[in-house]
Amino acid sequence: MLLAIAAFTGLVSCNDDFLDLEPKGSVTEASAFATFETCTDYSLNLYNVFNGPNVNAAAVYFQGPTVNYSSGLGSSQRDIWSGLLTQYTNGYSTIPNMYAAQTVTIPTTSAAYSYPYQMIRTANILLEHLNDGDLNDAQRKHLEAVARFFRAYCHYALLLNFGDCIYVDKVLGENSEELMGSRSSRLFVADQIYKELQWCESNIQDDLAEPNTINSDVVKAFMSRFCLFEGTWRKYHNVAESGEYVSGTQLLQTCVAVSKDLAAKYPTLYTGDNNDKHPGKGWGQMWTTENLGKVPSVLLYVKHVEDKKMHRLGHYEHIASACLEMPQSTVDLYLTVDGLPIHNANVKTYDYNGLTKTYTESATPYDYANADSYKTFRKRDPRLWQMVTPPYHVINNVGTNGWVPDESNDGIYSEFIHQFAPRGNKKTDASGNPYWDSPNFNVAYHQVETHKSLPSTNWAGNILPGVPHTQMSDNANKYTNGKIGYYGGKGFQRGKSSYFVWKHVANWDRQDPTFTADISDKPVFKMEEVLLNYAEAAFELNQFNQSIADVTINRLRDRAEVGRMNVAAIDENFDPDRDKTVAPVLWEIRRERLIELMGESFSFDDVRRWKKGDWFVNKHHYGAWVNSDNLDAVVSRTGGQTGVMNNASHLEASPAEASAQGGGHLYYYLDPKKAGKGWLDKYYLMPIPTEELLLNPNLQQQDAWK
Amino acid sequence: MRAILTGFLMLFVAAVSAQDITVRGSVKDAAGDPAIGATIRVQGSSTAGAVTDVNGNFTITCSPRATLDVAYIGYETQSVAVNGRNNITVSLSQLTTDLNEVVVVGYGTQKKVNLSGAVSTVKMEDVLGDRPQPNVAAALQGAIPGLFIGSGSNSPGQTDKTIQIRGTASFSGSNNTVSGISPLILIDNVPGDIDALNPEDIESVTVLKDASSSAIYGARAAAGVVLITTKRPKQAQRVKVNYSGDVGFVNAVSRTKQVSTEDYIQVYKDAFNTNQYTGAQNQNLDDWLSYLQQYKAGTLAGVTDNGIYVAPDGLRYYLGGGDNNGRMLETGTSWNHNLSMSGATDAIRFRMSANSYNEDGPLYSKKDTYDRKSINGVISADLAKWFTQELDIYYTQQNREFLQDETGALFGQRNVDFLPDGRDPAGYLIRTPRNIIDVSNVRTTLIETPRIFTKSIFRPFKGLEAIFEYTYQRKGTDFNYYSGKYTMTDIQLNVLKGPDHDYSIARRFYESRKAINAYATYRFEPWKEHHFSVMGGYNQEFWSYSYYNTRAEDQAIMDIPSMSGAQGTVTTSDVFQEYALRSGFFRFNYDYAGKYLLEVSGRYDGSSKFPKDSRFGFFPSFSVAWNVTNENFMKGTSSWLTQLKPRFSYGSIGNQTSVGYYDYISSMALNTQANVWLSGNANDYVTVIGRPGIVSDKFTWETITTLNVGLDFALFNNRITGSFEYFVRKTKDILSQSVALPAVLGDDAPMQNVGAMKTNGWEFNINYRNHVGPDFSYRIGFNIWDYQSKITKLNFNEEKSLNYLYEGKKAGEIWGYETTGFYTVDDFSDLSTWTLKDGVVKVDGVSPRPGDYKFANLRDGDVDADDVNRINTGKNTANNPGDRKVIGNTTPRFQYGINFGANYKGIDLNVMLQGVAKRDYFANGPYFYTLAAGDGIWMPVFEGTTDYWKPLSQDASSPDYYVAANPGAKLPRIYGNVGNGGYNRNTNTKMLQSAAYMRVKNITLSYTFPKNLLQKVFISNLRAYVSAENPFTFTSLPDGVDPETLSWSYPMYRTISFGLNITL
Repeated sequence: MLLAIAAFTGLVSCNDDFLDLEPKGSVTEASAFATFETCTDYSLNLYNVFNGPNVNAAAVYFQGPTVNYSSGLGSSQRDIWSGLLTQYTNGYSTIPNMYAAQTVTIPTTSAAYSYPYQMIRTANILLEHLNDGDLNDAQRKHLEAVARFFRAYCHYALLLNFGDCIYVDKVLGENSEELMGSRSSRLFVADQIYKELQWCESNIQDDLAEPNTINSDVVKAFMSRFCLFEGTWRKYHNVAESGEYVSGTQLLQTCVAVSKDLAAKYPTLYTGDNNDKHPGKGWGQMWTTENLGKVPSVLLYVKHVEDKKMHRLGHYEHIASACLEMPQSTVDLYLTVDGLPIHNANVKTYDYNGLTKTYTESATPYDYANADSYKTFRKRDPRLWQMVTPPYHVINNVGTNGWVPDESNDGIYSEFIHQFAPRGNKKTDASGNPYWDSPNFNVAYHQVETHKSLPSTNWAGNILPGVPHTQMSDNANKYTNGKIGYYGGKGFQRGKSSYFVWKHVANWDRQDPTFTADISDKPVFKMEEVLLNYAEAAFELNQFNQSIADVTINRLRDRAEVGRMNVAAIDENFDPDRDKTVAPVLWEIRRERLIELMGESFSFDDVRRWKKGDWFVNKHHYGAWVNSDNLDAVVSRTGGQTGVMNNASHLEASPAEASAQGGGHLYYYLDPKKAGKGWLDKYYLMPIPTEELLLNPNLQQQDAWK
Repeated sequence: MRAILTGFLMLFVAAVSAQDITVRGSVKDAAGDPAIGATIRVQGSSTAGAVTDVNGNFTITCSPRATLDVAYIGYETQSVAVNGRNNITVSLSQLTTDLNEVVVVGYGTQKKVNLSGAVSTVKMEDVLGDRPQPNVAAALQGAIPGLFIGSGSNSPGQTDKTIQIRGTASFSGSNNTVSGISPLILIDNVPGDIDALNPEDIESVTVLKDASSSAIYGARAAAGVVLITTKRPKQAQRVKVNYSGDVGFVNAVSRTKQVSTEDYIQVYKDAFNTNQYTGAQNQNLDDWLSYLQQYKAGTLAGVTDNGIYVAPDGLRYYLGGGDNNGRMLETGTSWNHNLSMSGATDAIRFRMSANSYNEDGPLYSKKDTYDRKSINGVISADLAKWFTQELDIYYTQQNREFLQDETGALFGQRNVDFLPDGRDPAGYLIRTPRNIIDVSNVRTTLIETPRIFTKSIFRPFKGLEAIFEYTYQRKGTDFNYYSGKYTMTDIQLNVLKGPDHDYSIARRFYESRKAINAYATYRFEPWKEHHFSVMGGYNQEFWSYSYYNTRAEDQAIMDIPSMSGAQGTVTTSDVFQEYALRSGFFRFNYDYAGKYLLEVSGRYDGSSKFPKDSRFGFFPSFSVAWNVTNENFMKGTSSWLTQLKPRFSYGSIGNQTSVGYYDYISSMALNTQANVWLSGNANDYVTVIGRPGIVSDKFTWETITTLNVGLDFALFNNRITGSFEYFVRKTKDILSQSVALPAVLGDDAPMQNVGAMKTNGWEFNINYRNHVGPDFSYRIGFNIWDYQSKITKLNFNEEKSLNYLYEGKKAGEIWGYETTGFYTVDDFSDLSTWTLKDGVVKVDGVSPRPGDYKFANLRDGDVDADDVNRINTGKNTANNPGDRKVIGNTTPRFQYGINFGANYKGIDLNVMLQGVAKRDYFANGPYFYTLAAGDGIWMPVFEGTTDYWKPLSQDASSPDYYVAANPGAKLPRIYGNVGNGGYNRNTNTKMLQSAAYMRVKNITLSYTFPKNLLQKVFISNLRAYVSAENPFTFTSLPDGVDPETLSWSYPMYRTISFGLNITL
């Protein structure tokens, strides 16, 4: 028997060919990096760092986990964290922002920590294989620069969130010592990023770069961003520096240098196409244009092509899950169209004549911060209108999609309807009366040529008859006797503050209920940001003056059709609402940055590097103003009686209090300070996920989080 | 011919009955003792008979020429000719089929009495009887202890069921869940597709449960083996033709149920504190209620046929509808026809069979159908005394049609009940489940499975039998679908059109397997009573798989979809996979006088799935058993103790099922359709070469070691038989992607051998049969089994993070909070800022409100020093779990099967039950909680979710502000959209459900027509039957949530059928 076993064993094991099987039809690591083309095909993986929130609908507002935070792709998560925007949800008398509510906990795992390392690995694999194939020197240099750009970008993402971090510059294995390493100082990491980017800048081969891929201008734009961030962080967080590494001042100088180069190379900003008639359309169309490749100030963008690669950002801003709104405190940051803060002594207020469609200076000035929506929006920086749906009321007369303007009360409800294009196609009803019919955007692209128009609709063309719309208002439309109605909203759009964000909505785009389907391109690196970096870095180096203002801020203002910045006019009293610890001109530069980059998630990182978490995050979030004669139009459905705020106590007003103060702001959330909560200084850096601490005993938690 | 003669004889007997005589007799059993309760029956008569008394005596009146049949449980029925005698003594001999029954084991057979491993076997005839269950796996559910048959996702024809032996065995490929491993399913020694088999063609099913019995099948048999042996004719017999057929009526076992529109509106008001139906057109809810009343009273004019009322203000009020899941179901039909012929001479044996089964499932319309046709021919010829050749050809064609739901809403949770079928006043189809079925196209799957099996048997000299088997089988699948386009409207009156681009899909899968088995058995008895048997063999298999997929968009002519008629994007893809196995195996058996049994077996296995250096493994095993009752000293108990056999086995087997085909080769995917970066020049997809994963070439076989202790017993002449098994199964070197490595690595850790787990369990089965009088007999069988698994070793997660498996974790454990009640207004110091009083338990990250669940503070200090009286998840580790603990376990415990049979004068009743005695389940969806944590405005309200916490007042100035109206409610306060809804849906003790259930799998009632009637029309057997499959289910889960699938999806269904079985 043993013999038999031995015989079988011999038979079985000697003939190995039968058991040697190779996978058919797939590329292996040994064969993949053969040519410039295949290496380039591989390098496309790296660009995924810009993709995330844009293609994943669920991520649009509710996640912002990865390095995409500042890719400018409309993930507004970090603007919610900074307190500039609010994700309105049911939860009366809560504090929705976890940083204001102090409900931030240490996560077990975090994509913000792990994703950058995945992409760093992807880059390092390419760097390791560049000598495998048949590439010439220029080709090799170019791809090396691309890989190093992304490696720097990902380390920057770690630096930005966590400060000190483990630096990885090679492909790691299961036993590499980096896995058990401790964190390097931010000085070292920033120095590495800085050197890496300098190398990229001088070695990248622009003639090998296809349009809309990494080239020397993109490298500079990123240097501008990184240098401003780290330079100002060092300054405001009093980071002790060492001569060994690049200093904060050097970083700011580099920021100015590269930004200046780019500002000279790209003098033109985008003013949009002429299908839209509202002012400042260039700012809005940056987010709703089909081909950003033709837009002069865009250096890199996420390209979307019908049926190939699409997103849902526009769709998401008018379905029920969308609840991104702007609190009154952020609305108040917007300048008037004259370029003045709303509480500046010289600010003007205006009356609107609906019959002549003209504005005259108001005989009885009002306060933009405590006035009804029409007044709040009137003659303001048009970027506010592109960001937040302005007020209007129309009559829904045919089906769910047909409407005519509500011309009652001398046409006051059409003030902004006239600023924008009317939504839909003009038709005639059975009795021969004209009306507008809003097309179903589910069906196709370019049914309408305009980007933004009123009334607001959802993807099926169902119209929202009125703004302000709030869940707290009565069902009945009280648009009578000159009153402004507070409309109950529609299932697809139902605000709580009446300031509903509609930044990505484009009429011509197709918004599909179930499939990702918008095709507007989205910028990643653009001159608008570079100019703001330039202005701010120049100020921090004491170089800012009117001529720099003219090539930076005033270019943005001209394009937005807002009054120019006159540096000399900005004194202590220019904006009485200013954070008094910030220099008046710097305050205006920062304001411009917040307004220009609204909704791109820059603000959380800005607020952190300025060390101004408490100023911004602790703001009480409340909604639009309701006039006293209109209080009955707002019936609280939230727990109290009035649904408006007592200005003094920042709690819900009783009916008597509300009428005594002549109305009030829509009240929904708790004031963080009132509730004994608010920003904590430990939030300046994110905690290291506990899982990582468990896996690596040498990895230390942030001191403030211990 | 014989039938005719017998018929004549019967007539003659009847004619001479006047001369009947009285016969007295006594019946003795094998030990010479009186056989009490033996039945005596005159041959050819269905009624006349007698039963022996306590002394084994009987008296019967019959013709002097009659033949008497004497039957006794556990003994062979004996026929005795009276031949005019008045006194007869009958000595019965023990039935051999029970103990000498031969069981199919790996590459051979074994007498049941000589088995020493954990082997269960059933004859398909016993399991199936007249039950018209066309799916083999479904038929086996509950029949064998330790054999788990999962309903998986139900599908027409009951195909694709999951099969497991003895529960979870590994956590291969995962770092946070354990999994069962599919056993090796062999059809005549070669892996095959169980769904392609007609149960009627199966002789027996043997389940090899422990390592010692399955080791012979090597690395694929680590989780046991299911051996299916198809029918083949045995000894010489005349040609028999059998037909059976039935028609069945199919409907769903249960469906989800929603509350009435009136109740729904009340819940909606409570949730959203509104009088508007904001999910749609802001309809006024009070108006709605009043319209409903008028509609029911018949006083409302202008309502559409399907119950939609368009109010003067243009808003739509839905007054009809109701039970939308009921409307999507109907009673389908099934047809089953079986025809078989078999016969044999001394040298040549054959069997031919054909089957046709078709079914229209429980969904409305004929868009869920299954059709199977199979044909089987076996011929076996003794070409020489020492050589037999067999050829078995089996061909099956399965054809499944199933609707493709392009809306994704067919079994959705948002189908509000009041939406009616048909069209809305604007003429659009309303998106209800029934309408979705109407607009959906079907995808068709055609599976063809031809199989050729040849077997050559050589018997060169006494004791040696050598067998060579060759199998070729192929599974070809054709999948076709054309989407078309639909237009529908939803509750918001949005017009939904889909899909974006109509598309056609054609997929072809081919799977082929070539297998050679060569093995020889030599039996010898060198000394008296020393029985030896040695078997050795060789096996090689080559499996290959290819897949082609073509998808084409935008048909030129939508009525005639084709690939060539597509105007839009055409994409194709393909996949190729192969593996090869080459192995040697042996088995050695020894027994002494049938008392002491020893078996040693093993296999030397080589697999292409492993790197060259670790490709081969040797897996031995052994088992011993002792037939105690064969000992002389047991003579005294033989009157009641028929068999007692303790068994022990031990062995280990490598497991290759968890390994991919090319895991040790670093490959990079080519992606052309991902969301790749588009450069300014690109307007189409570009190819991206994906990133290679980290590959380790150091991993080796997982090994599963089983220790099994068993006891077989039989009492009272096999009237009671049963067995008990206890097993410990240890799986070590489990292959998985560990989480041992920090994120800095930048990739998932490669496959490695990371840990071990242990499963303990037991199985018990007992059968009892008896009869009362000559005409009534009955049997009852019960089996129950249980297992629990634990992670015993892990080279990662030393900190015991609950996100992953950890050492010491019991499989299936549910971590959750202990619910102590609700927060009340008394817990708050300030009702405007909702500040909790000191000493009241707080929750990290949540600001609780009255009516939210309150959880027990189980631990302090898990997060930081300030973690006092706070609810949180701690460090999320088993040692610092915050305030959570193990509150339940999802492992199905005490799975059981019961079968009962009774026979009275040709009437047969069989009942089969199956169930799980204990299982926990936690779910937070709308079938359990009111509405949902988000997007509640579109959620229906399901029955059983309306007992939620409510406040007396929401007016801040009222003294009853947020005081509970119903402090004893089951469910927490409802939030319209988000609020603390998510918090209340944390896993907690209050909402832990029991997923235990008992299901009556089948009840069959049949009647066998008396032979004496049939013989006149030359029919040897005729039975008629009625059968109910899945007639009753007992569970505490909500309607529609099946305890096996734990979801509402294509429903488990019941079939009531009527059939006929006729043998010529």
